[in-house]
Amino acid sequence: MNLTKDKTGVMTTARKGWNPRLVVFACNWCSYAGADTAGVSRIQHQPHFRMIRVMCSGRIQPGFVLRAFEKGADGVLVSGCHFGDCHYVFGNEKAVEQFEKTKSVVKMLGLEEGRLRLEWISAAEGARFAQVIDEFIEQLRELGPSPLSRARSGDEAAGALTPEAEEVEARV
Amino acid sequence: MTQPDEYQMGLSSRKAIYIPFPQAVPCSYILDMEHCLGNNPIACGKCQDVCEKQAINYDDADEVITREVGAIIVAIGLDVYDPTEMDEYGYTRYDNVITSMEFERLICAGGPTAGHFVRPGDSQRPKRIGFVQCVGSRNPKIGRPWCSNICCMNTVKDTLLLADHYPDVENVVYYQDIRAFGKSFEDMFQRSKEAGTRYVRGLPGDVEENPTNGNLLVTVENTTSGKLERHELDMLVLSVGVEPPKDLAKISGLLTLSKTSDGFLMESHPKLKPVDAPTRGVYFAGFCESPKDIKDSVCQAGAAASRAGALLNAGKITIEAITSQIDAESCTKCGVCARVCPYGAIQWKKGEVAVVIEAACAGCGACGAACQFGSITMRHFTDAQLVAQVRAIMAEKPKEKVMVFACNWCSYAGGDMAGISRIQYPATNRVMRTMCSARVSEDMVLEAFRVGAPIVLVSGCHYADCHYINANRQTVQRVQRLWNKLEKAGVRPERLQLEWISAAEGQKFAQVMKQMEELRQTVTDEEIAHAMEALKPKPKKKPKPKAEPAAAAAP
Amino acid sequence: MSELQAVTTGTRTWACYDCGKCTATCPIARAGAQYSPRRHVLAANSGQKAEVLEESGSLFTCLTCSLCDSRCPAEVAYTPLVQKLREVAYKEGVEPDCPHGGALQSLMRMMARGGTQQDRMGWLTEDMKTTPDQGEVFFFTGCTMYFDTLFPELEANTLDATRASVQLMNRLGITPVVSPEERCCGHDLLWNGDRKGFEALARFNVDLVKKSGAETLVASCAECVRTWKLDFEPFFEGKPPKIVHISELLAERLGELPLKGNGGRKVTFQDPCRLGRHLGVYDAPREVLDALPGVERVEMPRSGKRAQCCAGGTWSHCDRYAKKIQTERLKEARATGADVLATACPKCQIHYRCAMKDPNLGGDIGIEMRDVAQLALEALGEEDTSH
Repeated sequence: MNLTKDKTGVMTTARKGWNPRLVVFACNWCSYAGADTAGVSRIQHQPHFRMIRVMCSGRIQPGFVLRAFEKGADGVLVSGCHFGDCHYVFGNEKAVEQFEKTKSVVKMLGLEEGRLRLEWISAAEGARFAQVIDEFIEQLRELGPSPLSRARSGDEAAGALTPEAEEVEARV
Repeated sequence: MTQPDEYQMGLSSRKAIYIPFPQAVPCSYILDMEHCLGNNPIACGKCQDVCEKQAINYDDADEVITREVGAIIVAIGLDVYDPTEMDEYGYTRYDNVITSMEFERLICAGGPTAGHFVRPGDSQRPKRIGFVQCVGSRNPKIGRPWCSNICCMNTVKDTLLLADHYPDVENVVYYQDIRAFGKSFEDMFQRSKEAGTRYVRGLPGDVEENPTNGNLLVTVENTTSGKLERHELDMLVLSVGVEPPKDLAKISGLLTLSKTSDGFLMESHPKLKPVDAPTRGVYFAGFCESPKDIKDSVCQAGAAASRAGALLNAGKITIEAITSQIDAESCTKCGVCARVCPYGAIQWKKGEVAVVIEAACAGCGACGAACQFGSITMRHFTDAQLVAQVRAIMAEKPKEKVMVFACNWCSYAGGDMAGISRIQYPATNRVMRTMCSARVSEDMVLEAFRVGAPIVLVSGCHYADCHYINANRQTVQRVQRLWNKLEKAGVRPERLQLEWISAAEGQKFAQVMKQMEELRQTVTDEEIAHAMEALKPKPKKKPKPKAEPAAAAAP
Repeated sequence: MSELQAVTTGTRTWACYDCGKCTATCPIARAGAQYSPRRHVLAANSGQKAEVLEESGSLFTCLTCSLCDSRCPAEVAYTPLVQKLREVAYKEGVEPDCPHGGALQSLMRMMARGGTQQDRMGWLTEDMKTTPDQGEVFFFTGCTMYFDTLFPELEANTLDATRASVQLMNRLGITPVVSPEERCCGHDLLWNGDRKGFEALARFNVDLVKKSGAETLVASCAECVRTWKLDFEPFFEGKPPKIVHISELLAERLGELPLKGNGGRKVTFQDPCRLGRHLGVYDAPREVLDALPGVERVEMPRSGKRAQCCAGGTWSHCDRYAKKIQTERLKEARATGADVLATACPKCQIHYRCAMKDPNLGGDIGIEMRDVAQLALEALGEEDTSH
């Protein structure tokens, strides 16, 4: 790990030019609250993710995850309540069902397994949230940009896309 | 012995001996020999037994009567569309879906139910009756693009009949347009609406049947309101369109009549000669020429009769001077001339010499150009005369000239039009006039190349507008064959051009001449020389000498 | 010529009589939705893109089943018109509803873009003989492996038809090319208006098959066959391969195989829209069924040219009207007394099985479903192909 300080003085492993883009689907009652907890507790962690709040992790169907990858996400994290703690009783069991499908499709499509994760993070687990994020980001750094993202060649500006693919992406 | 009664649309039956319909002319009985059980005492013969006048003859047969006539009026009528194939309306699948023809019988006092209007399914009187228009008309998809003329008013009339007989009836008409052009037709249409008929602008999609009561569920988009409506009806009448009669092909073949693209018979001129066939002496009346109602049919019949009368009473008629003449000696009896004649003016039977009926010949020259054996002379436009013209035109400096064969009625007139319009164009073309582009034979074109023409243009009337009905079809075929020939001989096929220029198209004439000049400039001396050599005439096909019967026995 | 003018000239939209027969025939309209094909024709004829866009809310509702095309007296080519209008709308930013969270469209676009190495051969079993890149016959798999993964609860097992097709070809002595590089044919991108996405897939797939040297292309999905035959045509340079649906191949050659009885079974056939009305293939699957010993073929009242769409609708739209159409069709199938509803397209399988999942209706509309290829394989008496 190559630790450097960025301009705010935070220790990061930010590589020059490219940082992974992680999309996090977090359930409202546990995981999103857990992220909040990390925040108010001032726990430092990697900033390279964007969170999409849903009411329950069971809402996350393969289509949403695929859309994230289609748009160039390097990694996707689905996060919900621990078993037995789901605000909607068994929503997180549904989440697992959907996630299995998602995982299979993503694998079939040819994306690396490490780009997709399912985690259970409760509202109190701010530290766990930060840890998961840090680990995932690091893993994504090792994996490199998603084959479907523009930054495949390592350079944000270049893209290994055919003219048609450029058009396709422009529309998307 | 009973059979379905054809006149009653199969809704009731008749015997094997019957009067076809009350107004039949003559109003006498006929025997349906196909189904009659015969004179055999074991089988039947009952009718003959009871006939006081002994008018029944089982052995009567078709008689072929030969008459020589001066005029023929073709009034062979129409056939009606069979909507069985339009499966979405369920005709023959659902009892209570009928055609407008069947409707007529059911409501007619002389019909199978004596005019008590009942529906086929359960013989109950229907109260809610729907009419679907344009079934088999205005429908390019099924090959019937025309409007059948009569169905709108027929349905309007039907609604009035129903409203008159049964005041509680609820009529609905599903239409695209209501075509009510004739005298007092608009008034009738308004009366139909006044009587309570509902007119819904929209053609139904699939019709469904309620199996318990035989009622019909019709789904239709009311295009005026944009709403999808569902109507439950007791009965549905399909307003079927009309079509050319099925035996029209036979008649048109016999009389060499042309058809328009919809299959009805073609008149000589759509405005100026509406009852004449292009073949002189043949006239049309009624449906076979185009769909029309009774009044217009009667009008047309009167017109046809007077035209025929004018011809027959003329005493003297003027015939074409430019006619075809066949040399019986050299005719090989191949029949090609008879086939290409647009007027049927050449009589030919297999194994016999072809004979031209001069009064019927219009002088297009298609036969003359088609004859491979030089047996046909076109008066005033003989092969020798035409070839001489070609040679004369190309006698001096042929490579600076474009040889143009122009038909008298269109292309030559088009050239005239360009002239009087003072349109400027290159002066390299030399125009030779024939009556029809079909007169231009293979030999004439090749002769033009042989004497050094760089470019030859054959020009005639637009394809469907040939003055001689369809003779320019021969032109196309001939030019295509010539293109193949040229290619095989190593001559650039584009040195022979084909254009359709009408009498009004002075501009086009000028433009084409310009194009021909541009093309001429691309033709090299070598090409011209090569063509002159490569297209030299092959020995002319000599007809086989007629076999002498004695020759076989000669030692 | 403006874009819309080119569209209306090419599809004969100008010939429209405004008779409304299309709407009165349309299964969606008849099911109760506010949908009128005629209005889209009128909008197109107005020549104003704004009018087309005003109607575009319902533009993606069309099932593209072509039933209206088959009835239109004026020969307006409505289905091609809808496809072109969707392209126009798509360029202006109008998107279809994309059921299933847009999963299918995302997948297709990711394949269009390329860049990943798919892992799509897992369905092949050891007994199947295939070759990965060169051969005379190319078997175009399609996306059944993705469908089965995305919809396991439907138990559609669309891969069974894929497997059966390969096994049958093997029995006929054909070792087809099954390529790991294959990508989605793009049928649904095309019908969703995404022209660029479709073209990227078209070019790639045409190139792939060209490199394989195949002279014949076989597919078990009716939509793939339609796309290859009609929509890929402009992308071929030179002579395209012969393109057939597996049922056409079987109709020709099934007689070469020893067929055993399947027990007496009544089978009714659902004509997929893409195979039937789009391609005009009605007889081949029926010939296959008739050749199977022990199978008695019964027809639904609305079959052949009149067959009703499964309301799959190119993944652009799904609602209660689609469900109604599916329910009515399944009832129609049950009413024939058939034991099995046979079809020749994975989309039909998926959508009818989805309808059958309804716990309130299940009893009335449940019926065993099989692909024609499966039935043919079962008639070889060697195995039960349902997994």
